[in-house]
Amino acid sequence: MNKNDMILEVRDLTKVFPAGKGRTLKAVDSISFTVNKGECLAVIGESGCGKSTLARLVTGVEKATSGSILFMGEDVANAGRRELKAMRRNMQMIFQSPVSSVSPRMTIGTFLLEPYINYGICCRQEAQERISELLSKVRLNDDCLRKYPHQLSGGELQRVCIARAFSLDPRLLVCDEITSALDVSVQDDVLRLFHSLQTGSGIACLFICHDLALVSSFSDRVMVMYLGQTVEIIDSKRLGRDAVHPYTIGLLRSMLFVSSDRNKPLTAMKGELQSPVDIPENCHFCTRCPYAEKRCFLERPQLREVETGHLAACFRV
Amino acid sequence: MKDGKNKRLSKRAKINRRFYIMAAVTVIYVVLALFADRFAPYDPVEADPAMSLCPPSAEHLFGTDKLGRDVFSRILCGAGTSFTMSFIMITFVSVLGTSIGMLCGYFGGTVDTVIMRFVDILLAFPDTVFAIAVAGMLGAGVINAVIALGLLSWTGFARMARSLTASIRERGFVEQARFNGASEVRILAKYILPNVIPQIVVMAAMRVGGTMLALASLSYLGLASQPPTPEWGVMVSESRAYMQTAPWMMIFPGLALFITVVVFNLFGDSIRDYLDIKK
Ligand SMILES: Nc1ncnc2c1ncn2[C@@H]1O[C@H](COP(=O)(O)OP(=O)(O)OP(=O)(O)O)[C@@H](O)[C@H]1O
Ligand code: SF4
Ligand SMILES: [Mg+2]
Repeated sequence: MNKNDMILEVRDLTKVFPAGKGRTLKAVDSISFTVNKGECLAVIGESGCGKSTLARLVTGVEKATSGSILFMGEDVANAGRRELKAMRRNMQMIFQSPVSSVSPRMTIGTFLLEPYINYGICCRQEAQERISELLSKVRLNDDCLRKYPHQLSGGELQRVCIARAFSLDPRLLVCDEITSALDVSVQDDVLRLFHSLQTGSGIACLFICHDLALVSSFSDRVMVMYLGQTVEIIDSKRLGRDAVHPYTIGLLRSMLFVSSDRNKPLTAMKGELQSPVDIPENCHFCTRCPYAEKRCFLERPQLREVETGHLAACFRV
Repeated sequence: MKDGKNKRLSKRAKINRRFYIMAAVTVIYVVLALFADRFAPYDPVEADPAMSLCPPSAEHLFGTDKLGRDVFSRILCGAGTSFTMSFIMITFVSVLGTSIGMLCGYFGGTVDTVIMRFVDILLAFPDTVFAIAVAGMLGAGVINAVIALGLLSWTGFARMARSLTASIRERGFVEQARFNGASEVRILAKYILPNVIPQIVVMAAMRVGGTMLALASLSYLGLASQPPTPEWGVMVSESRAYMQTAPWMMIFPGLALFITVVVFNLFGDSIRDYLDIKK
């Protein structure tokens, strides 16, 4: 892959939280991946596997314990406040809960104007025009500009947040489960809207989600996480056919059997989840893997290339 | 659905109505206090020995005191200074306390710890004891009493602003603000302050009544206003000897204090509901 195509390069990223009594919790455990220009990389995994932590690390909200994050060639992990501000001009985030993303005492109009003012993009007049244009793209009208967040529905508010994220025309969008706080009936709507905007704009995207079915139709590549580790990275198109990791396969199976209820937690696997606290250096999936052997409990499998662009971490492949 | 909306609307209307009523009552109160000399039927300090200790009558609504002064006029005129002083002090102290509290709550760190320990120490003093100490150092008088109360009451605002700021800081919209490119100063001013102010305004409105009461107690103890100034605490103090024979001398100033506290508390309460945009 050409180095110039890379927008985000994450290498051996680790985040350790203290878990009390001197114990530790590795929320993100030596993860490496890249996101290319205009590409949508989906991150999927069950609750608590470290997806949000990963998003917070990548955007510099949280400081990494070790590892490197290069965004457009710049180091996010060691960036100061000023550098982060400059970087965020090109790296935006959409949060899970739209309701908590807007100050209850700020009108939508002020909220949407903020990035233009703070980054000195253009004058107020022009900003207003651009905002109207953006709003029509997310199918809202200018009436909502005078409203306060509590006067909009969750779906409308999330569309406002989406509009805001696109307003700076960033190079990378980090989306942390942008629909899971919404009513089921509008989730699809918001997602499709987001997808059309994203593909239309050519903005790269790190898309965190816990719905495999949805993600495979949506993204270019999928990264599957399990308890802080990357278990597989694969092209979305090949996901159904070529996935090799037992966990990914398990997920795909459960997807076939369980009706695709989007709010159902992503656990159709038998066996106990390992405790994430003070987890040993093994294959974290060993307690539930049907093929687990002795070695899996003692050693950690490295992420290896199965075919070009398809990586998996399992001793069996 | 429609019903729910109507209910909400009428609730809002009720809140607004209550606020307007309370605001009107407060305005009337303040006007009466500030322009008391225009409304008072008698000179509050002029003695008339012939009229000593008259019970309430059509002529003297609240009766007269030992020196024959009209209690009603004295009560009316007693509110002005006390209100002005309390109002100025609370305005000053709420701005100061809120600024300190917000900075502490937002940035935390050693400075925050030191200031908050200091606040804890100040809060350990009962305000009367503190005022006695200040009066001992600076001398008795209204100004000194107000200073003493002010030295203590900024802590309430600081604490409140600090805890509000510390919790707002963790909310999603502050993180979002950083993605909007907002600087720390801007986050404090545009994202946090608007969410802190309503509570502070409510607290300030309520504190005005409380401060007037505190001033009266200090005057009662002889630490603030001195006789013959018409002041409620002074009046209650003077009435002690006549509790049995002329209870009106004590009842009416007491009632005035009671009404003051109630008016400002209700006003504060109605502001709280009024500023709550979600209701
Ligand atoms: N600030 C923190 N301090 C301690 N532990 C944390 C902290 N943040 C996250 N964790 C832990 O890290 C692990 C990963 O959390 P994270 O929020 O990243 O999961 P997630 O994959 O986003 O889950 P979900 O799908 O439920 O949002 C969890 O076990 C969580 O308890
Ligand atoms: S390494 Fe072992 S336990 Fe882990 S997925 Fe592969 S076979 Fe299963
Ligand atoms: Mg999460």
